[in-house]
Amino acid sequence: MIKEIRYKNFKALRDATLPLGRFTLIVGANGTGKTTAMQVLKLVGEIDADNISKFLSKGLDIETNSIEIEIVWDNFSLRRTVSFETDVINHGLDENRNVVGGSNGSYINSLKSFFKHEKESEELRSFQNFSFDPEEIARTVRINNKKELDSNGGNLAGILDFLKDTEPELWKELNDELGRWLPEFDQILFDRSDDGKSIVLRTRFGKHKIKASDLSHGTRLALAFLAVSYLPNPPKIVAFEEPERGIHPRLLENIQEAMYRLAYPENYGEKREPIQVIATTHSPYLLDLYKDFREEIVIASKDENGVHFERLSEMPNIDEIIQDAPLGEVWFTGVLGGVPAQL
Amino acid sequence: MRITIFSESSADEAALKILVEGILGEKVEEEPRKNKLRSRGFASVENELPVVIKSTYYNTDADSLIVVYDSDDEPVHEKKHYGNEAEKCRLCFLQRKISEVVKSLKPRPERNSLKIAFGVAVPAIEAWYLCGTKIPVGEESWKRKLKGEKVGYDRTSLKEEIYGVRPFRQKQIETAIKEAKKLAQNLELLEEKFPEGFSIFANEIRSWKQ
Repeated sequence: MIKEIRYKNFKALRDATLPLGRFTLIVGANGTGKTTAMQVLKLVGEIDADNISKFLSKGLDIETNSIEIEIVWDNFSLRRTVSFETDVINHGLDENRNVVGGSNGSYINSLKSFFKHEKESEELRSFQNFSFDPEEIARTVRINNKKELDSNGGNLAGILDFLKDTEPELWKELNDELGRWLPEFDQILFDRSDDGKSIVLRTRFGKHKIKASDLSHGTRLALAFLAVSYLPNPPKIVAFEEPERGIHPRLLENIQEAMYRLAYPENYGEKREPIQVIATTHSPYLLDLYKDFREEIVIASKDENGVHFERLSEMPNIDEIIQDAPLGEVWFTGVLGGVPAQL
Repeated sequence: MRITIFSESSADEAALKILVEGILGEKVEEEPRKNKLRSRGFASVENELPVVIKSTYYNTDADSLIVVYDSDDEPVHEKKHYGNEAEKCRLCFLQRKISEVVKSLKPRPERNSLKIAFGVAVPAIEAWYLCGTKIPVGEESWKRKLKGEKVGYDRTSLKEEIYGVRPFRQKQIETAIKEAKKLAQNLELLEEKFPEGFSIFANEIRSWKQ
């Protein structure tokens, strides 16, 4: 489990530390580094000798000549620093912003050293940053053996069909849960054709079959969340960007539960290892649901010195200030920060 | 003086700063400077106000807090309400709520007490801007309006008169600033026409200078 991530000179994250728990909800205005913070995890997880320049070219600010990312695990006695000194001054960047001169040896050695820690490197490599696209969720999937859900929700039909064939108990639970979330439906089915397979939902009354492409965007998004929370082997670390998008505010408690199912499987009678979940939001309604879990909320703010992350429960006098007020309303007032700046 | 303004829109905030400066006769500094506080409207006041007062008191260096809401269609505050809170009167509510919250604040030796001035614009802050024009705005006329009398304006017409129909935000802010600057030159008439919602608010602010 990652305890915190320290960023230096990565885009807007000039000198910031993101505290993390099993579940973390990052709240902030647009442009406060929430997406960038997740991008780093993805890039670090993907890095190997061949694509280090991809990391550099994506993250490098022209004003700086180094990027430093430190990932700290809570049970990892050696703090490993994944640090990249780009030495742009000596070598420069080509037109694609790749480091010229191939002098990346020292960084690769640093990475090789880091990836000797198999558990941690596996966690990072498995990281998925989900930002669901209703069109991709509904798309017909060619028959293949791919068992992962794409970050945009693509291959949902594939992973659900796989779940049906390999995990009948989980499959039944998922369908029961679907009925609780969206009572008009009672079963996920599949439409198979020469092109592949696609999802169909069966209505509870009348047993009509509704093709995924005819479902509302909100229904498709809810289905994707539900599916992730029932994956038998989900990624070790997952992020959800603005999970409230397209979801009715009253359904947000289901989204919260889906994320908690991943992070706290023991509370749901599951035996798998907890998944570290990071979500970002702009929704006061979603935030309201975390009234009793202030330690899970991180406020992202930006000032002249760049982005700052602060755990809500560690803000000065926070219990005295908030008391029983709904968090969404409190956040909107601006007293917590994490609201848009104004001239 | 460092002030925190808590109101319902960015246009109101801009105008209130100018009015406060007009009342005090000196420039003030806003705290926070960029991430300004904002209300979701009076329906949220019960939850918002304690949080804003406490946060300003405990976590900022602001000397004072300015709170202004519109009365909308709720009853206009009257002198007879003192000691006998009127149902739905927003000024009565603010008075009681602020008093309760201030009593609950724990001493902070490193700072002075937080000064709070609160006002209620009847029926909306745009009525203040129209003070002295041909439109007969004022608390007395709005009381008659609430009783069903035609007084020549309503909440919608006030806003349209000031901003036009569906104005863009920057125009609202610029208009509010322009109108507030005019008002700040002639506060007496505003106090006469709005003796409860504005005059008491202004007197509270003046008392800070003594």
